[in-house]
Amino acid sequence: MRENSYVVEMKNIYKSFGGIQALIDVNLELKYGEILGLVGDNAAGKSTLMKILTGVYQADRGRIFFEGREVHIVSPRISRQLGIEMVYQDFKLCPNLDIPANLFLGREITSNFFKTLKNRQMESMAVEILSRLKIGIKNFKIKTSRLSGGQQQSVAIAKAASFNPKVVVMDEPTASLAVVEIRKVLDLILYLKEQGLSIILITHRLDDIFEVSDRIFVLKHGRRVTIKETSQTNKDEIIKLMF
Amino acid sequence: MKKYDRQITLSERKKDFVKVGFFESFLVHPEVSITIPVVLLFIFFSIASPSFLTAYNIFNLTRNVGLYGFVAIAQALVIVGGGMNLSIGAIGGLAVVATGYFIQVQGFSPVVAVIIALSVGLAAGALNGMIITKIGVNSFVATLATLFIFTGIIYGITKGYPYTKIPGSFTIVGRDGMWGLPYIFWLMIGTLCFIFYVFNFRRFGRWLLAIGGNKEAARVSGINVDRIILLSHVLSGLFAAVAGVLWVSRMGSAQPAIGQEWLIISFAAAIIGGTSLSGGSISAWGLLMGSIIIVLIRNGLILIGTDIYFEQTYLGLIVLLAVTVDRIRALYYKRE
Repeated sequence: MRENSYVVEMKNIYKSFGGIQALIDVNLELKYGEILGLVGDNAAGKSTLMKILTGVYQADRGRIFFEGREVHIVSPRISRQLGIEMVYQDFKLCPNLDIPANLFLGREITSNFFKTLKNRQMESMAVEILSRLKIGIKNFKIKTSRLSGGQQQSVAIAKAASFNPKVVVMDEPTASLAVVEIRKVLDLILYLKEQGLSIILITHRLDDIFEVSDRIFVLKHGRRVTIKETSQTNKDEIIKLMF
Repeated sequence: MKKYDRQITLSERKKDFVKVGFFESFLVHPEVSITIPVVLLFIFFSIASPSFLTAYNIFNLTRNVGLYGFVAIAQALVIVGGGMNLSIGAIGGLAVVATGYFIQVQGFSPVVAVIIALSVGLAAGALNGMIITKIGVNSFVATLATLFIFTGIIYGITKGYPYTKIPGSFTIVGRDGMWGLPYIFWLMIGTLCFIFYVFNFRRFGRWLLAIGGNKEAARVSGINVDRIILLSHVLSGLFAAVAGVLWVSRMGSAQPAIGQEWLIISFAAAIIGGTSLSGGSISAWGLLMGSIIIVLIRNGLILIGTDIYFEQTYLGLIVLLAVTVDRIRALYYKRE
């Protein structure tokens, strides 16, 4: 039953900024447990589409279904409550806070009555999360500004993945990383898929897409061009479709 | 499993401690770099002037520390979120005038007058916060404008004259003390404990730190950034008003000029105390040390007979030194 249905369906999404049409009646379907690669040239509308899914923007027209139910995602908070998390190219961590504070930012654990932060509990949970995701950061008490780019992105992904989300959207997660670090982040993405998460991966790096994705969705000038099984296409074809 | 996690925590903490060298610790822990000069200055002035280490002078000195402490807290609360409040002195002045006006002109009881004065501070802070978050003006411009607005109101109401008919009972908090130190000092210590608690154990403090570190990250984490910034300005206004009311209690009169010199002092004490100008850090201990250092220098310079007409220059130099250290600290973290 569930294998045949979609975790996310976006139907006829239309969005314009002033006179510029960013998205024109785009349909997107994300299956349970798949990695969907989202590709397109600059200004194709990839980020806009995902910002609509995560509540940063609202579509002018169109409907969104989450687990078969129509939803109105009017803010990032709503999207988070549904179980949709986002990972950004520039990590979106607070450099002045340590890893536990970043992981739990916006959903801190507090005591029942006085609402005091339970820092120790969050620390030990952070250690557990990092070890579960096999993220090798030895000293989790240091400020995230002192971590390498790859470590910061791992923390950002852990932040998105560690609170039982159903869908994780990743916007260029490897764009600002060194080659070795890219490998680690891709492994982490594959590990999350193994755990049953559905992932939408936006990237310019087609190598990454072909390595980890199940299907590839191509956007061009705000329109859906095609959606293909990764195993049944190749880089040349995708590049032609993109431009 | 839990035991295992706990072991990692402790060993990593130890590693972090070992990794930071002696000189680096000055940059990593601003509390260290500020406590040492406080101790050195204290020793220096104790030796240089026989009247420095007297009960009377210490009482006087700690009373000023208390007053400046509130001013520093008011400024630090908005700096930590990445903003600033240029109207701190003017809000304090409004509270002073409100206290004097409602006691002397309206004949209200001091308690009611104080409640009104603190409410004025809250409202003025809320106005700053509304301008910044609703209109989208940066805090420098917004509070520069309200600085003039509030100052104008102060002089419009008082015509420059002080309210002097303040009952004697009102000055108890400002002039008396316990355990050899003034009430004002103890009040400030209590408030600093509250600040410590807020920034270590409350969501509001954690979120304000997050906003100061990366506003966008805070926003996408589901934090209502505007509401937190607004609240930080409300609190800033409240503490500026507390400083104003305490000043009246200490002076025994409500002088409209109170607050005029707070701007430089608030920045100096906050930044010296490790509140990063770019936002995202605050230290209760640092605020205490920052306030002490300002008072020590002002008091000590008078005692050792330096030309007090140059006081503003000394304060300016201290601020310059503090921002230079702040900059070095920022560069150090960037390099890391």
